[in-house]
Amino acid sequence: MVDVKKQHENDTGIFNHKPLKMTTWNRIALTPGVVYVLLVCIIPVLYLLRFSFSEYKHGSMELSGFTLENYIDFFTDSYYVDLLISTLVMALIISFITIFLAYPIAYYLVRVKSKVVRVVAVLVYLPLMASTVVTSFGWQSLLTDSGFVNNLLMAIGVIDEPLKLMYNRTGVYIAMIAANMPYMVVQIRNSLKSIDPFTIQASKTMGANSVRTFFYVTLPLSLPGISAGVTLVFVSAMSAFVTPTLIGGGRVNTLGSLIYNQVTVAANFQFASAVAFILLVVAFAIMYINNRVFESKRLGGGGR
Amino acid sequence: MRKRALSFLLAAVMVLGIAGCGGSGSSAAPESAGESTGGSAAGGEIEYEEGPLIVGSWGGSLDPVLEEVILPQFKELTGAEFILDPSYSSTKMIAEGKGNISVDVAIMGDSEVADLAAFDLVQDIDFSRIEMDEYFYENAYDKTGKGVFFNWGRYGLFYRTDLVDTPPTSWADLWDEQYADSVLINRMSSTAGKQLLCMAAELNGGDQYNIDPGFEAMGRLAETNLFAIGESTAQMGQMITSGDVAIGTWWDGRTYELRDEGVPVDFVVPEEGVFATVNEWVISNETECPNLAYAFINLCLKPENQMYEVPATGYGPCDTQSAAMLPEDVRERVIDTDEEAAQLIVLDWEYISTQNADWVERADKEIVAKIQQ
Repeated sequence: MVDVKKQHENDTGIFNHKPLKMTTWNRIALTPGVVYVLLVCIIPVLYLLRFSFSEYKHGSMELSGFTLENYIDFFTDSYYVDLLISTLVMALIISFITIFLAYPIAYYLVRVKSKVVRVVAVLVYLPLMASTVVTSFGWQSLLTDSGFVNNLLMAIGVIDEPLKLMYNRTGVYIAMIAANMPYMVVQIRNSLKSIDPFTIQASKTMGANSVRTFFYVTLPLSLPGISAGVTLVFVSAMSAFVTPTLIGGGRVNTLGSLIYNQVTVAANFQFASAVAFILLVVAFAIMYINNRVFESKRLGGGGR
Repeated sequence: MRKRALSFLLAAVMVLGIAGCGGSGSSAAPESAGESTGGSAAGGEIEYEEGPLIVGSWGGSLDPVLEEVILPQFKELTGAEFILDPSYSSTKMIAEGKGNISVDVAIMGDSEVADLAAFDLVQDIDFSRIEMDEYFYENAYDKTGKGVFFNWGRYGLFYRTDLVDTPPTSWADLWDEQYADSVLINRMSSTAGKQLLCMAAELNGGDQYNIDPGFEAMGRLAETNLFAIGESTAQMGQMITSGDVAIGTWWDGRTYELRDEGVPVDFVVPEEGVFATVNEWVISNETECPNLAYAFINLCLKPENQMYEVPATGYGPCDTQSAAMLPEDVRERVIDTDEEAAQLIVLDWEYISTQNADWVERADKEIVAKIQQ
């Protein structure tokens, strides 16, 4: 008798490959990448951390002294704490809405075979190809009171007065969701594609209808894709500053724009580093929760 | 065996890639190799350094003029070239810090020159070497002495001629009830924003040194009349063109540019006066080619060259000679007489530069936060 449990001992979720053995050749291949990440990512972040404990010296980038002043200033000021919370909430909401909008599209791209699919795919990935600044100006011509969307809705009589879609939080949400859709669609699509079609067939032979199959088989198996998508979208939304600045009309302040102001105008690099590090920690915390939630065995993931 | 060879090849490629990037990356910004060689001086008594001269600019409409008009003259005069860094700003210079300044000359606003002077990054200008010195307007000199006025414009009010019944005459009109939800201003952390803040203070019993009334007034403006705060000049242009805003604060050059494009907009000099928006050339403390620097600045200030620079930037020259040479249609749009020059309000940027951090923080909390959502 085959011991099924032992056979799948080393499975890593949906990929089911054997784990990588650390031979000498593998180590050599990994070294440049690891060194690069160390130099470009890890060490600068450590410098940032050390710098955030420096005393405020207008415009200086030297490490000096050791003080918790920057962090204390941040957490004792209700304005900054509110800013942190509102940025976090905005990022979470955007992530969730993106899941619900992206999933059907990804599903369609995987399951339907027609020429139209390719056109839809290009349209979905289009935001990736233009820069944030360019698309922001595009939104300006679409969402303003006299823009395309309002003109259309008023012409067909759905609304009498223009909807306030621009220079406020609504506009920012619309633009950020549209910009992040491609990332989510790609991730979900990839995980949907890697589902063995025989599992679907097996579910049907067991007597489940399409709806049950979707909720009990397809959705759980695509959770890693959703998780990966949320990772990308959340981080992008949390640290966003160009879109909220340009589309928010000055009304929508985020942690990113606070850092920008502190660096370019106030030249308080120390405080800016502290805020940046706080942003980093919060983002990591959410990522950790994200991973734990989506990979828990209860939800059908690979388990930990 | 093949797998090993493949992973070895991959590693080799990556290592070579990194080595290649490292080599070429470090020479992205050529350092000015400016030793006085004593040779290559095509122009007589002055010994010009080898260069190239690194010029920090805005990356805007001035750059083509610098490259097409000034560069050939510069080459002919000094035998050297200059290179533009179009992404330069005062923040960059401050972040670079002493010992690391990457440019020799740069164009800066007058408030930024005060910031740079506070950090001791730019040198005193030797006005005996500035050819146009005798023709400058009386108030066309920087208080710190560390910048040469290049051109200036006016920061005042704009309004849509088709959306506003009576043209505004005073800065206080911005607070008028009839303009509820249709006023546009610059972001408070910019030079223009600070100028408006000081004007708001003056209108309410304070001034640039007693700024609290200004914050209070701007907070009121945000609550009732402000449509948006313009984050970028281009975005503001779009808001004005689409008619989302009817009135606000802006520069004369930009307003006239839009008017030329057919937008029904006009510029107003309010009765309290307009603010000077000044652009100056600064020379870094660490430049190794001061002779080239002065040659460059003198060429930019030459009236014949101003004839190209003024239309390109929309700003007027700071000397009487160039002003006299301007064609009629350009003259009426820029500052061109002593009287107009004397009307300009110039703030005490040295003092304000010490208040930057405080004002930016307060602006976020007391003004931006109050804009109706």
